[in-house]
Formats: sequence, structure tokens, C-alpha cells
Amino acid sequence: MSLEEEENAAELKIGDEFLKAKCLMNSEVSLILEHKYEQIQQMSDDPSNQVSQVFEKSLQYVKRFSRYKNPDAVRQVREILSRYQLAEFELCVLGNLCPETVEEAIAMVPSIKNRGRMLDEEAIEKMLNDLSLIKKFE
Amino acid sequence: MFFHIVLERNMQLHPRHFGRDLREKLVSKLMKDVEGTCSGRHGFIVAITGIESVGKGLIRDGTGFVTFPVKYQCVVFRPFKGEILEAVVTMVNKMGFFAEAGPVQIFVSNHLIPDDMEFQSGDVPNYTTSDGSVKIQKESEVRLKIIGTRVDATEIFCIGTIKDDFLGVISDPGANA
Amino acid sequence: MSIEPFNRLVKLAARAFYDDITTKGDNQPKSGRSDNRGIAVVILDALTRRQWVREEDLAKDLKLHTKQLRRTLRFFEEEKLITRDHRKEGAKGAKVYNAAVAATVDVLQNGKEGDDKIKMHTHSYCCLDYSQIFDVVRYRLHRMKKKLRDELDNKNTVQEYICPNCGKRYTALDALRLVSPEDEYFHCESCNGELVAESDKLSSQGTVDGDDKDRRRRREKLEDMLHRMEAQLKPLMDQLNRVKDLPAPEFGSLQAWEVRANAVARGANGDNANDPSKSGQGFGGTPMPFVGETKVEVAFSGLEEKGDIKSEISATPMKVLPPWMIKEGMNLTKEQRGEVKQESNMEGTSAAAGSSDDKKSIETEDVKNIKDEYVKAYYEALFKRQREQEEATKSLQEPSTTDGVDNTSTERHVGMKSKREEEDEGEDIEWEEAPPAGDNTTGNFKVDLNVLADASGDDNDEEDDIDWEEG
Repeated sequence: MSLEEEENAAELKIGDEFLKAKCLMNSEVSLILEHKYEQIQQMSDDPSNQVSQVFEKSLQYVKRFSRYKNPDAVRQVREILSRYQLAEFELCVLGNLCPETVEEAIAMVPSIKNRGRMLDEEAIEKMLNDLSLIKKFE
Repeated sequence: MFFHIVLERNMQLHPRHFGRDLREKLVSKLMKDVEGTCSGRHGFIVAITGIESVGKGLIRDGTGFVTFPVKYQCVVFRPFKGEILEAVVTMVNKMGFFAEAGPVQIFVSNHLIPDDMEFQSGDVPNYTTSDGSVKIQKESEVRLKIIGTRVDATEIFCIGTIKDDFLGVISDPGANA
Repeated sequence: MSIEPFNRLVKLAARAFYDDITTKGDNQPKSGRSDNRGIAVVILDALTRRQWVREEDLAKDLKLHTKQLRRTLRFFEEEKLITRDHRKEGAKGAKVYNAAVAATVDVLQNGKEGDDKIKMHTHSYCCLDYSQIFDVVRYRLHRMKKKLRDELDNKNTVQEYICPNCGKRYTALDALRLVSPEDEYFHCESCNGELVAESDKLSSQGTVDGDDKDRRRRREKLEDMLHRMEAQLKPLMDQLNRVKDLPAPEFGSLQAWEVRANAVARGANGDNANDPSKSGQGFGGTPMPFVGETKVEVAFSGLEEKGDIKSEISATPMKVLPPWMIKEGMNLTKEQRGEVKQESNMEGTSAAAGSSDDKKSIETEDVKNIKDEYVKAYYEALFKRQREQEEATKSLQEPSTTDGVDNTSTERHVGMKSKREEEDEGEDIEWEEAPPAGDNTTGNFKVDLNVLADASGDDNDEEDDIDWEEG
């Protein structure tokens, strides 16, 4: 009996529209929003008046929770994670939370374990290592 | 989670705006209209990042207004049930605590806070473990899992839990001070 | 289409959910001897063999105390499994009911009913509500699963709060509206009372301290529960799927049912097809209104064996054939052709022509008698389709096919009054077109005839003759 499919990000049930959409890591959003904020600054004396509360809160948030500040590093993170057959959503959760162990990664993104993608622990381990390397050399 | 998606909107423009800068007028009106809004389906529209296309205008009968279908790219924030994210604690009380992740507010009720954390009232109400090693108070950063969302036309509210593996405090401001 | 799948559903649900229901009050000790668990299943099973039943009779049949039975029935009523009806009645009302019972439920079962001494008494009746049972069981399964899943997914479900003053309930999702600037509690929106958290149900069972081991153990327990539920209730779920698209048997209100059942009985009385049905069908009372349609289909699809058809259809006249058919048919007969009409049909069969076509004519007249919109529509659709088929296979078929086309058009007036000869021709071709055409099909029609008209054994013989002629 499958009535309505309930939303559950842990199983990657986020609706087709968002599943196919491009996800953004906090670091990426931070780059986008800061760029936009600068533009507004150039045009107006009082930029904080020009942006919505949603914009401001989001900007504060992504600045606070960006793991990677350097645009090149951000690009590299996406590049590395893209090698692992991850869904956009999974990729971004990993990029945002930067789990340190395989166990933690699976707890954060349970769907990577049960989609039959041959993502064994070794592969996940390697992925996490690569991520931490970027952080180190940022 | 933040997404970069394409949305469409029919923009009505008064004929007096028709001219060389019609497109700019459209875009600035679009930004004013949609940025900062929230819909249950797409979440919070944080920022418009580009215009994909402006369709042919349609003159409305009687008014002279012209409707342009505009496709635009934007950054949205949409929380999902089951999603794990980081948030900043904004208020702590006996019933639990409130936190913010960007534009969305999340409530974590006290029964979804680990049982070894006790509420301490006072100037800075907080939840603390018996040995005092972990503390949740205003401005703490926590990693939580969303377990429920209340979505209506213009608001999204979430409830979350920190009572699971790898969830909980990631930094508390008191410790750094 | 029968009641059987639904009865199976009831039986499975009874065993799944009601096998440990006891009708004892909670204060009474459940000693081994007076423990009547399982009686709920027995009662539900008994109800699947009946339609509307007087509760005293049911008690008698089951050798139960009426009070005890009533307690269980009240429970079933609350569970929305049965509908009940209570009415004051004297001898007359009881007779109506008894007659109805005699017409529907196996007479053996209720043989002694007439003996009841009846004054003006309030009698209670009950009856399974199949369509509601279907919904109830489905909903119950859904809730069970959802509850377990939620518990598993979230570890804990959404916290609920209740206002001790006014009883208003909230959930954690309302938190934002409930916070108060003055203190650290949530406050009721309507009376400003201090809300208290409701302890969650499943998760608070067992140990309260949530250390890791306990949680893991609880989780395992939940998973196990979910798996067991899915395994053990699989037959029930399968059965739900099976009956999903079937129309649920519907007996209607007690009154309507009695009227209908009695009318059917009257109609079926002259029909010797009555008897085999009893042995054939057993207790399984087939519901009336909808199988009426089936019957029509049966007549046309052409079943294999005469005998088969006979039993199948003979089951229908008594229980299945809706009284409105008979009643209306009779009325129309009077209006149109006079009372003898049905008999004249039969005569027509033997006399009108020495060909098989006659049966057809009879049949159409039956349609006329019935004047049932549905049947007409069905005929038309069928003829149309057959015409299409004819056209499709024109090259293969004899010139008669084209005749068929012509005649079908006249045929379609059959529902109205048309001359028999025309009909005969039209249907003759129809006849040949009928997919499994042959003697058997003829027999099929004949049996159908018996049902509708007052066919007797003699008629059967005659028709048999005709069958042979046709072959």
C-alpha cells in the first residue's frame, strides 16, 4: 500500500523536481550571494536596505557554515565529489558537513549506502580523504 | 538545502515602462516581487541570479498592461524532512530550543535533546550534560536532523532532533570565550 | 463477482485483529473457563454466512447468550464492521423478516425461525458492512505501518502538547506560536494555559533512559515488529488488493433488504431453478443488486456447459436477481402484452419457427419485459462491437455477415416494440456471430430465459429440441 510517498531526504525522497535540480553547497551559495551583495553595494549606498531578510539571513548562514572559502577549493570539492556517482543532494550534504569517518558519512547521507552504486567503505574513505586534503591546502 | 533552479513568472508591466530599458525594468520588478518570498513548493527564494528568457508580451484587455512570461534562475532554500544540516541556536527554553538555518526556523523539543542534557534556567538558559562538557545555549552551532516540516503558502517551519549519532553541538560560544 | 472474496477478507481480518477480543468486562476475572476469546472470530464468521440476521436467532445458532452476543456486536458496531438496526415489531414484522431470510439465507440454518413467539418486541438485527470493512481494515493497516515507520525514521515522533485547562492540543510544529516572552514554557493560544508535553506512546514503553544500547534495542524491536507485521498480515493485504476493484456487497437497510429479498423469493417461487441454488450456493448469500448485471453478461458471453450455467444462474434468481427486475417486468407485461406474455414467449419458442432464432426473440422480449436501461445499453454496445468485428472480418465471413449488419440496425429497436420477425432475423445473425456460438450457447440463453420468464421443465425440453435443430 503506497499512498503518498513521504518526503524523506535520508532516502533521497525529495521530489523529482529537486532531485533533478542543481544543488548548491553552502560554500557555493556563499560565493554567489557575496558576489551579488557586492553588485548591490556598487549600485546603492545602503545595500542592506536593498536585500530581503531571507537574503540576509541566508548570506550570514552560508558565511558561517562554509567549509571552504577559497573559490578554487570550492570548485575542487565539487570536482572530487562528482567522481563518486553521488546525487546532487548527497554531494552537497557531504560538502556541507564534511564528515570525518565513513560511519559519520553514512549517518549524514544514509542513501549512499542503499542505492546499489557499489560505493563501498573503501571508496567512501578515499572520498573523505580527498576532501580533507583540499581543506588542508586551502 | 540550497538549490539553483529555474522558475517562471508572469510579469505585468505598465506601458509607461516600455522603452529601451524595458528589460531592466522587468528584472528589477521581478527581483522586488519574488526575492525573499517563500512558497511551500520551492522554499525560500533567496536571490535571482539570472534571466533565462523573457517571452512575448501579451496585452491585457482593458488595462493596457502587458504580461511577460519570465523564466529566471534563482537560489532557493528548501528544507526537507530527513535532511541533516547545521544551524545556530537562537533561543533556549524549558520546552527545547529554537535554531536558525538561513531563512528557516527549527524547533528541537526537549525530548529530542539527548537525555543526559538537562535544562538550566538563568540569564543564559541552556542544556548541559551532567559533567558540563557539552552545552547548548544561544548562538551555539548545532548539527540537527529535520524530522518534520510545516509548509504553508508563505512559511516553512521545521522541527528537528539532535538525539542521534553524529548530531548535536559542533561549537558552543561559551567554550571559546 | 461474488461475495466470497469479501467474506475471506472478513475472516482474515477477524483472525488478525479480533481473535483475542473478549467480551468480558474488565473487572471480571478472566479465568480459563469463562475466557471467551475467539468468540469474536466465530461471530464474524457466522455473519459472513448471513445477510441481515436477527440477533436472537444468531445467538441461538451460535449457542451463545444473547447478552454476550450483543456485547460483541456492539463492539463490532463501534469498530464499524457491522450495521445494526433495532425496531419494535409484532408478528407481522417478524414474518416479513422470516420470509426474507427464507429467501436468502440457507433455510436449513434458520429452519426454526417460524417458531418464535412474537409479541410487540424490540428486535435487533445486524449485518456486515462490507464496503466499510474494506476501508476500516485498509486504514488500520496503514496506521499500523505508518506508526512503526515513523518511530523508526524519526526515532521519536513529533512531540505533542496539550493544554490542561481547555484540552486544546498542539504539536512541536506549532512551537513558534506558543513561545511566551515571559517564561520558559509554551502557552495555549486560546486560554494562555501552560502546555504540558504528552509523553510519546511507543517510545516511552520500556526504559525511559535513552542510552545507546536501549535505543538500539528499541530500534531492533521496532524493525522486528514491522517485519513480522508485514509477513503475518500479508494474506490480509493480498486479499485487500484482490477485492480492491470489486464492488462491495451491499445489502442496504434492513427494510429495503426484506422487501427485496421477499420480492425475489416471490419471483423465484415458480421457478424450479430455485432448488439447485440452495445446494449449489450453500450459505453464501449472494448480494442482489449488482450481480444482476453480471447475469446479463453471463447470458451473452456464452458459458461452456449447460449445467454450469444452470447452477450459476439458478443461484442468481433467488438471491441475485433483483426484485425490481421482476416487478418491473411484470408491470410492463401487463401494460404491453398482458399477463400471459411470458408464457406466450415460451410458446413462441416452440411455435413461432422451427429455427433457433426463436430463442433470440424470446430473449429480446425479455429485455422488453425488463425494460432495463442497462441491459439495453449493453445490447447495443455488444451489437455495435459485433458489427465492428463483422466488418473487420468481412472477407472471411459469409454473405450472412452483411445481413447481420443490416439486421443489427433493426435489432437496435428491439428494446422498443418491434415485430418479432424482424427481431428474429436480426438476432439470428447475432447469434451466429456470438463468439463461442454453438449448442451450448443456445442453452445458455435458454437458461437465462428461464430465469426471467416463468420457465418450467417442459419449456426446457422444448428448447432443447430447438437446440438440436439448430445444431
